[in-house]
Amino acid sequence: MIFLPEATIIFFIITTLLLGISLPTHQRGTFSNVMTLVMIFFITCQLSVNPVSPDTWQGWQIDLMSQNLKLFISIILFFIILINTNYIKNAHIKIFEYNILTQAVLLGLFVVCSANNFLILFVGLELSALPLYAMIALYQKRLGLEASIKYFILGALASGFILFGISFCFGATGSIQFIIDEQSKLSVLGMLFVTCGLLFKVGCAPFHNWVPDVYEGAPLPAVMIIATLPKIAYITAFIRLGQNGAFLGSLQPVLILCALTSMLIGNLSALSQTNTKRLLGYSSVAHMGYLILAIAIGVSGFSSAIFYAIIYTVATFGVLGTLVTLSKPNHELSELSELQGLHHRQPVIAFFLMCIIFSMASIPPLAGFMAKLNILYELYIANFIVVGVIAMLIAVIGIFYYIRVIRLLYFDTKKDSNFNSARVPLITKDSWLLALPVIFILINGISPGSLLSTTDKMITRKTVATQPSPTKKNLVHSDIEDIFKFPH
Amino acid sequence: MLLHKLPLISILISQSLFSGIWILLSSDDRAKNIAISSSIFSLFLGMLLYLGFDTSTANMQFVENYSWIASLKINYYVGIDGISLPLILLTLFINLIIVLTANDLVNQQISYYLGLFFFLQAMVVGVFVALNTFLFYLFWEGMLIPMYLCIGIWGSQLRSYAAIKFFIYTFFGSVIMLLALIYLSIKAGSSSIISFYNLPLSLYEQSFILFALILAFAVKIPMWPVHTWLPDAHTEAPAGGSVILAALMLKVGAYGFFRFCLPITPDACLEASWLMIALSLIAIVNIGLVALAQHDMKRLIAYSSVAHMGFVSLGCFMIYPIFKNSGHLPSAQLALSGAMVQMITHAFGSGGMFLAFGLLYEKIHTRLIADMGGIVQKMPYFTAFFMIFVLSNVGLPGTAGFVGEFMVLVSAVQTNFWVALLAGLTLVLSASYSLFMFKRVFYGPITQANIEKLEDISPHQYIALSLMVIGIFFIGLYPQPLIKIMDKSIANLVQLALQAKF
Repeated sequence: MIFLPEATIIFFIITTLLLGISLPTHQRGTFSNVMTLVMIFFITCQLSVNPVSPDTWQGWQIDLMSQNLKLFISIILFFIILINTNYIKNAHIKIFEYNILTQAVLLGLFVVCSANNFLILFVGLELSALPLYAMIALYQKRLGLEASIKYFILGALASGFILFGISFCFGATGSIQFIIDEQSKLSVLGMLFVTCGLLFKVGCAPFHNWVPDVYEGAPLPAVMIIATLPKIAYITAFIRLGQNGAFLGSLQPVLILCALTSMLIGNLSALSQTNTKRLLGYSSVAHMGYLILAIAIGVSGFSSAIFYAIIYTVATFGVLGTLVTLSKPNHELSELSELQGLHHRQPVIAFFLMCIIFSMASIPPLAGFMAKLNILYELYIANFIVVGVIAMLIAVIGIFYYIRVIRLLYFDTKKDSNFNSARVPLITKDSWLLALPVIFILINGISPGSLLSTTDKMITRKTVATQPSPTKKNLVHSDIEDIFKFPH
Repeated sequence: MLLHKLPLISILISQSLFSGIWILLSSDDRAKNIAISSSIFSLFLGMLLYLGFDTSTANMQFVENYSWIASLKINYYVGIDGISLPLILLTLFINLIIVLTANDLVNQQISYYLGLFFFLQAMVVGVFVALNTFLFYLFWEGMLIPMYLCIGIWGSQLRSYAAIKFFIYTFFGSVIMLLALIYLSIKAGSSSIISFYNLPLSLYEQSFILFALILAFAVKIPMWPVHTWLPDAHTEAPAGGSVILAALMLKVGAYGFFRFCLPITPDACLEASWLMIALSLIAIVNIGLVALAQHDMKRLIAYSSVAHMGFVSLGCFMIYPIFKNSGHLPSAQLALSGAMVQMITHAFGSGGMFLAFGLLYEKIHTRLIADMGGIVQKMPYFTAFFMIFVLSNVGLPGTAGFVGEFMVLVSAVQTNFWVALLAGLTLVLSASYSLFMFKRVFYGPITQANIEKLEDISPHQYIALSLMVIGIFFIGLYPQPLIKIMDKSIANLVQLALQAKF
């Protein structure tokens, strides 16, 4: 049953909604929380117990990549829900709505993971984006509403781009499959539009302007979802397009240029930020640059892209998780200066944050370094040496703001009465959760072999399965005509 | 032999790491005892390496080679030869000295402080033993984290500035190096450093690779135009950090010349040798003059450090003109051995001065030379120790500093009269700034009230300083064991460095 996880999500969305409404208001939150966790548990079981047999149905693709990334997304979401529970309860965010929207986002992302034609991809993108717009506005403050509107309008524009591009592609090839005809200008133009829309979705320059605003305006629990899960899922869309040769021809320089711009703009803008969430937003723009660079290499770069995305997601989860853990119920920790002297107040959390930030800055022996090394290695093999050199030089700029955060954590002592100097317990429930990303990053920094081979398998098996061949193209063509039955 | 069957190097590195974690987690009172015993145990492991070391071959010994990351062809590949063994022993020795004096040098968070130094020890030893480029890079960058924290947490007023400057300078250099290393490992199809030695490379490729490597190593050494982070880092770092910086971190850069530049890009080194010799001479003379003008005692020692490290880079690159002039391998070998010995002896002279000054600073809390004077009346033993460090730094015959400088100078004479003359100037310059500083600080009338209250050093400080002094005299009077360890490896290196690769 290739729709089993998605069917489970739909079932749970409906059940949570119907049962939740019948409950008194104060119980809905806990109920929806439990339902979401149970749902994720079920999905995780389905995804990890079933042996993966590559399967396709129309534009629906089941393979190692989609299943493993779905599993990864579910696990990350599980921890996001867990780490946010306390904060949401106290911060007066509507927890019931939050959980419903989260479930819907998950469904959308799953669809994107499995999408193997333009229409399903578009449905998935929209299904995941709409709940996100709403989620940003859950915090009914001016900044949140502003960010939500901004994201919605720009997002709608991006969706328009994608749809427009799809129509061009369809016009050129007569198919909604991911088929790119390098000879036809129309097809390439269409693909350019689709790529622009996708670049917007992952927040890569020059379509990155929403990222810092949304990160700043949205409540932390929503940022945790926006900053982590969609990036993973959208990368699969890039990979599936790339596996069909979308980025090998005239689009390759475009992608490389976007990637380099993204790194430069992200890193330069992050230098002057004073707000942690904005800083993280710009840093994510920079990271997306490296990811897109890996995509632009071609098939050999895909596994390093997935590896990078996984490490990035876990690290972002760690940083945002730290912010959530340190936030007070009525006050969200968002200014960088509030982290000052954290080492003296909460040494364990400060240590975790330090590890994660050094990983983001790609200092060995942490996983962030391995992720960059992988991409660099593939770039060199694909003979993009100059691009690699530029990318690493830009990374040096990025170092500056990362170690500035470390400086705040460790070097400065805060002379402030807001925080009482009484020693907090070394390890609380939440800091145990924060240990997980740190352990993950350390393990994959020291021995990334197993994760690397997993991501490698995700890609190689797929390329063998779908070698686009002329005969298949014709088949697909008639397939589509069967489905749509265009009147001639 | 049983020793060779043990994975001694891995035991040493993991022992340092685990001691570091243990010390971090223990309380301040217990931390010091644990640190001293683990440091002595590390030194014991180091002695086992020394005992098992075969000086009659240039091959790598105690080799361990396991696959680590298969998809990138990265191996966990470690081993030692005559170039790395003395530096490993030096690392363990210096770490013991720092652990012994830790209580006097920092007042807060001693367990973290000691823990960091054990991580640092693991990383520095790792750099010296790594035979795989990526393993090397991992340790090389891994050093940055503890050092950055050490300067930033325990440093003085401008610590954040100095720490960030240090980090960015070194990180920039290392990233460029990483780019070259990846290129090499793809070209060679293996990331073992040894496999690069016979890899044919065109002069064009070699020039780029050498440029990238030198950028990384020159920042660490530091050589003249990229040395500006060092005075800041040294001045702001706590005494233990300064000692590690002077005695070990700078050596790591010079070690890079020995392990990477000379054998991997010999032709480019030949082409660039005049430039490197010129930069070294500028460092020796110009920085010597700058040191003469310092008011801050720690800055003075830091600049003298840069000037003395100029001898190391001079010795490395002088082999090309010497070989061209004389065509005689042993003379080239003498220059390289001189550079190597200078690396070790500089650690004792400069490191000793930083350590002794750190002890003094904790009592008088000023770094300005003008604020001091007449200390000898209150601290005669301390003054005697300091005198020995100063003399070793000056290069007085009989002390360690003399051996390295003499070997390099003898070779310089064979290169060119002017090179020898300029290099020889350092004897005058370093004598003038060191002794002038010594006179102003230790002699004369007591001008400050807090100097009146000074007491002489305590027994355990006495032990730590004596260990340094023993080292200075041992190498100064009987350098034979040291030279014997490195002899075969240096001879092999000279051959690799003088071969043509294309």
